[in-house]
Amino acid sequence: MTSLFRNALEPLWLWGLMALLPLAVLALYFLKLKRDPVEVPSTYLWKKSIEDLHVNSLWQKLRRSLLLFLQLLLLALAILALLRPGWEGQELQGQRMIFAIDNSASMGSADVKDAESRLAEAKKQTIALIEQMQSDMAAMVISFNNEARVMQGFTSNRRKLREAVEKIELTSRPTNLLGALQLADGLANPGQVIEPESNVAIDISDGEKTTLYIFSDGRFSEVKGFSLGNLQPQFFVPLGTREANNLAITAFSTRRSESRPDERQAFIQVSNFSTDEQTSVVELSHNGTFLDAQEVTVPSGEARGVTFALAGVESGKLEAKLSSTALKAMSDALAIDNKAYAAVNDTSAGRVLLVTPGNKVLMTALSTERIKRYADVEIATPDTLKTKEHQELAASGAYDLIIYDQCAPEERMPRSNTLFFGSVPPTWYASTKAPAAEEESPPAETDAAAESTEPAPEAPAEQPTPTVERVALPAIIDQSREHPLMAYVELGDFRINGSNIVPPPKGGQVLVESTQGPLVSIAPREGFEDAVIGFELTVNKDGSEYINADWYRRYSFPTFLLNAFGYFVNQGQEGSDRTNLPGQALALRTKSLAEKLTVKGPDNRETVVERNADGSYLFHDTEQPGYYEILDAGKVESRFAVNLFDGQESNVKLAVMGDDDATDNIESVASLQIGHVEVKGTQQPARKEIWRPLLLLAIILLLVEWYIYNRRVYL
Amino acid sequence: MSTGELQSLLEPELMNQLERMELVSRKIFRGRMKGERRSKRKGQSVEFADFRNYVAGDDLRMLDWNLYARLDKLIVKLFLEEEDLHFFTLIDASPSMGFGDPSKLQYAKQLAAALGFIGLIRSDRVVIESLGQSAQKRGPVLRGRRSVWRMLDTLAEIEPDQNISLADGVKRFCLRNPGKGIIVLITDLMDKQGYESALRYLVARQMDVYVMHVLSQEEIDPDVKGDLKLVDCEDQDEAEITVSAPLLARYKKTLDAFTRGAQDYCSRRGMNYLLAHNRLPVKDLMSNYLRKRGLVR
Repeated sequence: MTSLFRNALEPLWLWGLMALLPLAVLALYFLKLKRDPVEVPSTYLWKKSIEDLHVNSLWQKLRRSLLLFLQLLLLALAILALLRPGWEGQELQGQRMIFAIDNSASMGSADVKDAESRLAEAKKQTIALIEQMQSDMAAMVISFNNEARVMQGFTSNRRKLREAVEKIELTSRPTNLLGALQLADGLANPGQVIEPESNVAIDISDGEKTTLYIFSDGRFSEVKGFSLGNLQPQFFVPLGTREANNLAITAFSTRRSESRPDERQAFIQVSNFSTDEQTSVVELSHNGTFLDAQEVTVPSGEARGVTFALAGVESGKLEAKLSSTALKAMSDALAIDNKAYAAVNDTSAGRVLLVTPGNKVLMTALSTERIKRYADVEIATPDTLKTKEHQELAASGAYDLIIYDQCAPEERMPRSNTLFFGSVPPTWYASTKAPAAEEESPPAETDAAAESTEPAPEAPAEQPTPTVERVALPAIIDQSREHPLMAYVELGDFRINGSNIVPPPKGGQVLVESTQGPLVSIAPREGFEDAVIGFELTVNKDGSEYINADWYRRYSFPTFLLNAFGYFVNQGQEGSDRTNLPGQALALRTKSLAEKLTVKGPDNRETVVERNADGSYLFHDTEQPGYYEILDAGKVESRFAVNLFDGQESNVKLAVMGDDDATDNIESVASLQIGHVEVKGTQQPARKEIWRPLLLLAIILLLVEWYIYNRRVYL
Repeated sequence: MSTGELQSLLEPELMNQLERMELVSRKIFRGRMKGERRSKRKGQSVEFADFRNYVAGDDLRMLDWNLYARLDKLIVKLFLEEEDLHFFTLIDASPSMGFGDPSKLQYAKQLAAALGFIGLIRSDRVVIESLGQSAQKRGPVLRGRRSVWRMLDTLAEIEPDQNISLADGVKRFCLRNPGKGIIVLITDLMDKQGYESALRYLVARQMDVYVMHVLSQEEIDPDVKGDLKLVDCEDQDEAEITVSAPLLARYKKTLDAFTRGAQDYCSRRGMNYLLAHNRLPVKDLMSNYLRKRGLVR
């Protein structure tokens, strides 16, 4: 009762006064009962007729007096309306309000009573607050997940605000409150400008106090270092319960089996975000056909993985889902994470170009079966680099990797990863300081080494690029073992007659260090990477081939090449099998290099994506979890999957600051810390007023009374 | 009395109808004077009744000489005496009779005039009185067609102002008029002391009693609305009512019970009861209802 009439009449005696009003009407009714005298022949029959009514005449007089009842009812309604009954909650505060509504994935949890989801409840509560707005109030609606979006700017138009709230839809994205706060702050303090010189925000006008309402389940990381400024007071409206249970698939990936390379395996991780241990069945299907199922028992708060062998599964859509019976039994709150998707693409080999004057060692090393599994290797001579055809192909990003042996591209670097042997990319030192030494490197001790410097200056012919330092017999002293290129590569046990010293440009990394400087370096370039090996394996002189480094005799050489193929070629392909997060922009690549690609989403909606300058296709519309098919000329070229896989979103228990005692009263803990300010939580800030319908009812009743009075309708 | 007033009580058409009627008594009363009605009394008339032996003192004109010639005995031939009928009309002129349109009193007067007219043209003794008349002042005894005007004058004088109880009025009437005959009591029976004692007086007089219960249409189907204070016109008694459909239904039920009670009371005591309302034309009442009940023929 107290919650019903909260914010109504404060002193109790006023309630008594209100209760007296109907009695007063009753008394007035008796006083008012002035009967018109009518002379009749005899009251004999009338008296006889009303004889039994006199037994309790006071009440009999009231009996059937419809008008009195209607008046009492009218009064009761009017009193109720005056008392302003409403559900417990806050009243709107301030003149300007910002309603920030969380529409991240966890807001889809169905643990709110009488509401479809937390978001539906948030919308309902926001609309209830909007209904309370006076004409001189202005409000704004923001929706936020990992991105904040203004749904409606400041306005007093309640209809517009309502519509903006209605438009907010559930997304599959994670939550980031900071973005919403920054957006709200920017809009709440419009008079703030940032001085370009000092980069300091200065208030050019007094900011208006703005009330910020955050409707969320609190599934976001702590917001630190943010000043609310004019955004006060603030209300955190916690949605959901601390008892919400959820079982989720938090990882799903496919990989080639280590032991049997021609077979794939699927790994599925199931996380239990409920208070008890849960057992569920993970069902796996391929292109809609059931493949396999495994039971998994996950202790509370932990995650367990299951592995499926995918024999004979080459390409298509894989779907893993948790069995509905277990979910129903535990009343799983969030549905979106009960399914996970993975895309299996055809294992197409990459495209690699080897440009060499005829390095037999290298050509032999790249002709193994193992290498062929990674890529088709094309071989060309350095002369090819000058042809227009090659330049166009290289500029279109057709190759996954180009290996330059003792040569370098003519003008521009190709749009692909590169590996240089004994030469340096023309742009290698463009951003770094040129080496001071202009003089010729000391002559190599061997003949071959002296000649080996010849191909190097070819590339920067037209540019005043610094010459490369050439050293003889460098001894390897260190190597970067962490880099994937150098995994399992053990160097130092071979001889190098002569080598360029290749210090990496800015942002690059030295992979192999010698006594005389870096021998192998890698550096990023516009989304690609260039690896430079300072020494040649062989040098061609006078039509003969001489050995410069006997690395090819060591196990580490093919290992390095495999690493290079795995790193440069397979990276892109693995990427397409990798799962992606909702809302994440993806750079898609295809072999055909068509101008436009079509991406078919899980809802069968097709989006046309245009090719970028670097040959990739940037695709943004990854809001929905599920499969996406990349169609090239109507044919499915490859697929990728989008999954939630966010432990924070899947852990749907209402996240609030304070101690973790679940038995605590929600009001005492439902608050969150923004910077150093604690934002108070309110359980249900939307005060549902019913005085308007009551008053309307009273008016209708008044009309009925008027009608009855005039029509003399008596029971 | 003007012709208009006369017509209001007795319309020419009605008078033509009444010319052919006569009052009928279920009992044979002794008349005062010779009339057109067969009497219990044996006397001079043309209608043979019986023979008896001559006793000294008999009118010799009554001897049947033919029988004397045959039997040599003096036999007196008895004829039925034809006498007049005593016809009383007692009108309740209490204020309650002044209600209705036409008023119940006016209706009662019309009825009394019609019945009286029949009586006069049949040479009956017609007495019309109102309940409030004092014991000393008797209503004029009217006889013969010539007395129609007097009768109407008498009726015209009756005003609804005699606040007297039914029992008292009847009692006084009985005291004033010791004779026997037909009595038609025209009343609304609205007496809070009840009508029973009044009727009992009449029963005790062994008269041929007709109770004409006259109610106004307003009493039968009251057209009242809202919260009302009903004031009794006779004793200023008040009754507060809030008119509602159930109350009206209840009133009708009470009225039904009241009329049925009166009818039962009358029929059990050999009285004729007739309920009439003021909208029922007198002509119809005479030709249908009263003829059926045997008051007129």
